[in-house]
Amino acid sequence: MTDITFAIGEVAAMLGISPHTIRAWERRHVVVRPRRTTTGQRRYTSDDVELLRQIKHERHVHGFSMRVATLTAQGVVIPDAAEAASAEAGGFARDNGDPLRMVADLVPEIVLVLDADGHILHANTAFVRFSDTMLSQLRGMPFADFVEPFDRAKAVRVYQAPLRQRRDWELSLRTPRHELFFAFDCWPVSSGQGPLLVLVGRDLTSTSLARQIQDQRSTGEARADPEGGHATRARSGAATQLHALLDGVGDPVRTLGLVRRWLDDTQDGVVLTRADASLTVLFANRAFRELIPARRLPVDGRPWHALAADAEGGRLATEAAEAIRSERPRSVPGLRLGGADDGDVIWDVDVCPVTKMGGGASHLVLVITDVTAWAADAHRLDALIACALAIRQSSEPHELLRLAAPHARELLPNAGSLLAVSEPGRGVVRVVATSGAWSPDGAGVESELRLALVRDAVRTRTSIEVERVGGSHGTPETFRIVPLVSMVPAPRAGEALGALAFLRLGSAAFSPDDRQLIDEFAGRLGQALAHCIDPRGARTGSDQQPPAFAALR
Amino acid sequence: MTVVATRRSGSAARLPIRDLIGCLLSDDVEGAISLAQRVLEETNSRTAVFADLLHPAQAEIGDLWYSGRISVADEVRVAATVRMIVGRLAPTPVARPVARGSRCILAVPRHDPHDLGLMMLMLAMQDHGWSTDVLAPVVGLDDLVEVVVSRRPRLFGLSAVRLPPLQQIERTISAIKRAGIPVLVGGVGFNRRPDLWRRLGADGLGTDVRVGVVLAQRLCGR
Repeated sequence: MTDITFAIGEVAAMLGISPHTIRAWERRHVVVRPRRTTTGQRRYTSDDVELLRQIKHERHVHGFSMRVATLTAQGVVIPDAAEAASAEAGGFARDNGDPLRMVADLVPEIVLVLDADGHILHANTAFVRFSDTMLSQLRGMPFADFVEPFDRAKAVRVYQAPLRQRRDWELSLRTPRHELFFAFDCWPVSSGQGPLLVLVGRDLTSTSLARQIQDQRSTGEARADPEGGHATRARSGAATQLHALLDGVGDPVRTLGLVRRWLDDTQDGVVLTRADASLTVLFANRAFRELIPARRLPVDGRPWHALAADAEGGRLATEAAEAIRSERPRSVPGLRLGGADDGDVIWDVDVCPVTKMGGGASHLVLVITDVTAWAADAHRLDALIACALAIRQSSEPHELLRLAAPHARELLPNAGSLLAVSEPGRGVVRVVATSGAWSPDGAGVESELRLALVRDAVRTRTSIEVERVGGSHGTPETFRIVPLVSMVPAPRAGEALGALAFLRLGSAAFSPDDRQLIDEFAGRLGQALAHCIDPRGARTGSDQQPPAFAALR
Repeated sequence: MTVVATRRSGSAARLPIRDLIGCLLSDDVEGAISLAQRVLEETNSRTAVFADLLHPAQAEIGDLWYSGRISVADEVRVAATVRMIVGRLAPTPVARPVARGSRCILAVPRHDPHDLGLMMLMLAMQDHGWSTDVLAPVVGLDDLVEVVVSRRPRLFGLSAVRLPPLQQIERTISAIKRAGIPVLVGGVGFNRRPDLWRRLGADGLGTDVRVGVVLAQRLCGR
């Protein structure tokens, strides 16, 4: 018999939910994948309809979130310690069946039972999640189908007779949505069905919900906030994930409790609050507890302002109220804390409303990223951004150097700077401006040595970085000298136009960020200087003396 | 009387399913009726009350009995209350009923006293414009074929909790389908084994009343 299929309107009528909701479930949670007609119309099988009906049942009867409802409807057991406890207390809970199966479903490792031909007989929740395939569909599928092609020969050896125990058998598994690297321990076991092989795989790529959240966050757009100069994220993946997890759920605290293990793995603070004026905290993950001073613990049941005092006149509270009103996520970038023991702490906070069935925000999820270090870096970028416009608009070399000198001074606050230009063909480097440790302290040997390094950098058009253990004052010092060159239209073969040098005293060497900043500033300055000297940018050889360059001397 | 706490407070349930379970198990008949009436007023659909409130509550109570948390006496008492609620709900005819004269025959196998689901389906079908004939449990499957074929309905529905021998069901379905009458099956007996309806040759499985009504319309070409 051929099964009849149904249009989305019929499915909606069968389930008592709107076609819009069905499409949203498909899009957000990939609960079913209906076939499409040649005209693109969805066609649902009876199995699709039954799965959707089960999901609706789990949501309405048990109050599960979509994710949990989907897994439950698919036959994947969701262990629930709280539920077990309620059963002990006289509440009613579903019997989840075989305790060993429940244990297998609890662990983060993937657990598979294969027959001697390599077909999957059983898979735990972790593998079902990884494969995005219903357990009933997984049964009978060849394990090798999930293995990367170049690892399949190795995978086949796992279940080739005679079956034997193996440790740390590494295989790459792949599904349309995931690609992970696992180390498998393999145990042959005997059963009534013949020899079986149990595989337990540890994810070496450490991919979990937390990792996915982190991955999404790292791919999110990072930009400098032109007002505050703080690094901020355009949109956090973590907040989106949590929003999808909690949307419409009846008891968000319980749902977050189910995924606490993953939330505790994230580096972002995750806090659930009531949607009230004081934002009473109901749940916080480990990262948040570590973000706030220990003396403010515990966090549960306390208002937000008691945990993290907002130094910006309640900007977070304002955004939270707006999120509750509009039922849309809000972003609070660069939130500066103002508590006595907060120090100079800056957070990016994503505020996501948790909406009830039927509408209305019942809770808020706050995803907090400590961007204090980013903000410090962003402040340094301010100097670069500020000078960019000035040096681009300069048309005279003298004016350009005059404008660039203070920016060079401010680029690295804890390092002295030197700006020099060269006199081509004469081996002379003329110092235009100095600051900090570069300031001349007489015509000593040290000054000569430093200038010799600058000349070398100009002559060879090469960046020089030198760390000296005993410097002019017996203290360690680090130089970084970058030649000023124009890369457009083509690198010049001879001397550089000048040099930008920084000197830091003490044991702190230049960080990669410092180097990037210096190189970027020198690159811009070299480009602008070359443009001032020859606006046509036609000069390509060192032997050509540009007319404007004489004026510089 | 057994009092069982609802599973957890603050559920996302839009419909008061757990409240109803609480009322049913605590023998609060008036409370249960009031909840059902309230949902009927909100949805203006008896089918919705059956499919979204009474059926899920009964399924949950069935699970409680299966897991030993309530007794069979509780389950029977609840079924009686639900039957009473079903009988009290006013008809809610739909705006676009099936064609006039569309008739279906619904049946429960002999020795199966669980005809509550069939009763809900019958009322829902009537709301959708169907004329319904119900063959009571006294009718045996072997007798069914002759009765159904002679009456020429547009649909035959079989609901069962306790399944007769499968070969007997298969024979019956096959004979009715040979007469050009589509066969819809439903009830816990079929729901617990989701592939059974296919094996037995039925045209569809009405997992609940609403699915049954839509399937019936589809199988009859509307």
